[in-house]
Amino acid sequence: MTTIAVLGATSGIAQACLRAWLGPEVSFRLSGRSPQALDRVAADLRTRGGDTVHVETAVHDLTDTASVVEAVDWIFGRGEVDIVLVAFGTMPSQEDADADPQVAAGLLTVNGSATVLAAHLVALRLLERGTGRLAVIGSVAGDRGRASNYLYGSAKAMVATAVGGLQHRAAGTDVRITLVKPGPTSTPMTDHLRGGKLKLASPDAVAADIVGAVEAGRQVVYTPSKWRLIITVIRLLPRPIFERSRL
Amino acid sequence: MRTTTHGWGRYPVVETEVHRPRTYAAAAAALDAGPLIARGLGRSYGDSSLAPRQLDLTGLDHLLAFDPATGLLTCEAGVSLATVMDTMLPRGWFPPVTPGTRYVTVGGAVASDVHGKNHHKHGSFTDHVTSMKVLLGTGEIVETSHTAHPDLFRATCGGMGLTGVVLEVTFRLIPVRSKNVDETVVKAPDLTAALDALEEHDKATYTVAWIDLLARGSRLGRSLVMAGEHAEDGDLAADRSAASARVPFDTPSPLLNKVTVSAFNRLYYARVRKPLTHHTVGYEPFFHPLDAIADWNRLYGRRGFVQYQFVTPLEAGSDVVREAIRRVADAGLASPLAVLKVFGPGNDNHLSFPTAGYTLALDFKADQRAYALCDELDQLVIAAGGRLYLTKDARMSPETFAQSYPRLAEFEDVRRRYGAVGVFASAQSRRLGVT
Repeated sequence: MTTIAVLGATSGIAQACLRAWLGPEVSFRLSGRSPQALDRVAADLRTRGGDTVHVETAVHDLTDTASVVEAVDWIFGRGEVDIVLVAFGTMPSQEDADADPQVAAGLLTVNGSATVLAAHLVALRLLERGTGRLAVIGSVAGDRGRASNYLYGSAKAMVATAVGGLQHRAAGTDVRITLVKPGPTSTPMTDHLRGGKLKLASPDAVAADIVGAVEAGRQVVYTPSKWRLIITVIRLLPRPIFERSRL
Repeated sequence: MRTTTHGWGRYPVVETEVHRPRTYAAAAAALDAGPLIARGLGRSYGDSSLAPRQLDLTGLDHLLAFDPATGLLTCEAGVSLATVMDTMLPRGWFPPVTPGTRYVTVGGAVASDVHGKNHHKHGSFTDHVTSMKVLLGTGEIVETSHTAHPDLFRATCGGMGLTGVVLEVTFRLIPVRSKNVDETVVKAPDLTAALDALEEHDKATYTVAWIDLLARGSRLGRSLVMAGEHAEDGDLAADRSAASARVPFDTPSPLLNKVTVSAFNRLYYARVRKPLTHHTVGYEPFFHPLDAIADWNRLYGRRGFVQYQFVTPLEAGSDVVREAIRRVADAGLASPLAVLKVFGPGNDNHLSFPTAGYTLALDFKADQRAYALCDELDQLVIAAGGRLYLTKDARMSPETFAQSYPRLAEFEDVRRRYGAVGVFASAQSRRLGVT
């Protein structure tokens, strides 16, 4: 029996991962913010998986310290866990964040410090046990600050640095920690971007990459994989050229 | 967000603003900004899922409950039949009705009341639906079934999304022992032989005739008649294969022309050497041969194509079908995908297409000659008391529609009663006078 826990289980990428992880010997522990959405995700997994799938859910806000601590306590309080995915996040538009400092602050907290805190607390538990897998959703946006999404990007850069530190800390143990850097993916978070110039990746393709990377214990996975190249080019663009671009 | 969309036939193309709800509440909220039409995977051929505002339901993709005691599956409307097959076939369950592609949503299957090769035995899709949740024009979400708001149920099944937005559907799956189908193929040298073979095999669960519309004279209506039953061999592993080929771009001058189609048809027909063959095939090649080629609709080139499917009542006899086939064959317009089937009795829904009779499905590259031929065929079909399938239509006149769908007035009454007027409309419904 494999037990998989997800923080932010109703996110589009998390749901696709959950469906990819479905199998005869799998048990899920799902934490999310919206009880209605969480119920649908749980019903979906039970219906797809049949009688053999075990799903537990709990509602946690995941926007402040206390609720993150509570969610991690809940996950590990229910018994041993083999794989944890930290997938919660928000993506308000840059315009909304410009107009309201509260929106900007919330974006930084949820995608940055709350995510880092969750990854840190989960890693401590796994290290205590000496084994387990942790995957944290970062973003290609964290690789270089860009005018269109530097607030979101800076929060994800914080996550990348923290995961790097956790990987360092876990070196030599049987704990594997994966930083996932998805390119723009078609999920509820990006519904407002659909139909624009950007081609959004399918959550199923991204999930397949994540599941594979976690299985292999890889440290960083760009998904779809072309984003490793794209972002390398963006990172290497000389400043005068970069500043004339609209990225 | 604003974009351009088209149906599977790639004609017509319209400007649209797409809303993609992830919750029922978000779907209801989208009604505030003006009239719209719901859309799933966009496999209807013409303009029935097109409108200046479209509600893309593919974000509502959760399975919600399954009861192995009854076979009843409840799911959100954006779930595809492909998902139903992938998840339920390994456990021995199959959709009760499947059209020629599995990439349709359950909501779309309800709105079009789709039919398959088993219509003569098991009716159309909504004959297996027990209840639905429908978002009305008033913003209210109601449960409807044969007993709860039965008028709404009859109008919504086959109602092309014009009574409300289907959000959730409960329907009955059928138990199967195999992913495979035992298929019998009869080589019919002409139309009479094809119709005889269809009649002879009407005890089979699935029957269909593939007609070579380019054969003329004494070979007019030359067909392969296929009959199938779910196999009993216990092999249930779903063919999770994605499309094995893809048409990557619009073919500049359409690849489908009289020469290539004729060659293809001759080869297809000649491939089957014996007059009668039996073999076992997977469910994908049996039900959805074209799904193996992603975006096959691009083969017709940028201008798209027109599907034409009619049904004429049994009483009118097979002469109407014969005459239609003769005219298409005489016109020499490439139509590689012609399918003939004998429908069983229709149901009590106001706009459902199937009715006891002969149905013929053709497609043409969209051009003036094809439209002229369709106009001619319209006359033939209407005179015989038949009708056209809305899901494949992009060109029918409001007069033809009113003449051939006698329960249109009842349908309009239901729309008025449930607040649908002025809220749900498609490019097709506006063309046909339902607004």
